[in-house]
Amino acid sequence: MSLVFKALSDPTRRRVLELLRKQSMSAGELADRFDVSKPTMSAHFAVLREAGLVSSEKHGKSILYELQLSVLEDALLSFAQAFGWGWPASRKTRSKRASPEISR
Amino acid sequence: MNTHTMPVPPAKTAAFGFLGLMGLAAVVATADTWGILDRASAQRLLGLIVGLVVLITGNLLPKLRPLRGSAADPTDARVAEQFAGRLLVLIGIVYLGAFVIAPLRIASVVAAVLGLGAMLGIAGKWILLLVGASFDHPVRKFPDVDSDRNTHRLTIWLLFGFSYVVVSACMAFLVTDASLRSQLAWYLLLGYWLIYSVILSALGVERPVR
Repeated sequence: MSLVFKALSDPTRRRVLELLRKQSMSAGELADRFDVSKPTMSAHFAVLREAGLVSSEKHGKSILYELQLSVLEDALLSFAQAFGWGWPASRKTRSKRASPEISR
Repeated sequence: MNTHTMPVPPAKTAAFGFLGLMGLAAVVATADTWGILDRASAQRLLGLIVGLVVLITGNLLPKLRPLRGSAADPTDARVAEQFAGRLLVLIGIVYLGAFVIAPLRIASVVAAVLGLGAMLGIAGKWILLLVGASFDHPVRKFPDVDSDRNTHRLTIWLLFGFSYVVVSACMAFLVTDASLRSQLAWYLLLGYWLIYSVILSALGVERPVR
């Protein structure tokens, strides 16, 4: 469970999960939506995979990520999103700029 | 399509948890038979165990992805799994509350009605989804990876066992006459074998080789 809390404590990872709620996406598509380097995004994906919150499949050259949340994890994610859990003010502005559709 | 780093869904954990709780239920039933526990306490404990089974299975259901690889649209399948998971979690909480605080007869009736209603609702929704999807997308998209197939097969077994336990428990909660209860148990077993075949063919899961 500590892995889940660790994964959900980071706003970038939570936004990845929010994007995956709508549909499965490739690593490239996800990385394009963030103002973060690709190695950093890979590290975020690894944390999410390790916590079992996402699954990944290789389709040709791209890796497709899919959401894999239990009911409790889903509720925790919604709670963290609602109350801005682990969301520093300085990063909030940058994240909204990087992905305007999330803030809508 | 190859699986790259597919984390194993928690099917094995869920299966062990399910078997553990079933073992606990067997212990309580045995204690009741031997007179170690009085009938009312045993029934309350069994109700609580069934509630825990419903709660834990419901929580894990969207993670287990039982409809994955079926003909259903992935988004529709995910929505159906999430709905089922949330409904079961809610019912599990009601079970636990009812068997802790409500009079036993009321708790039994409420548990039976809610349990049967939920199982019928979920089964109906999934069957409609799968039947509808089989006309639109007759080609199955399940990955050709043995470990995935085995995990998926374990998930189907687990959910089938779960539904059998819940429906049996609901029957036992509702019917107080012992002879009628044992008669119903046989019909239920027969019915489940028939449904089992239909679900397996609909989900495209092979029967285990003996």
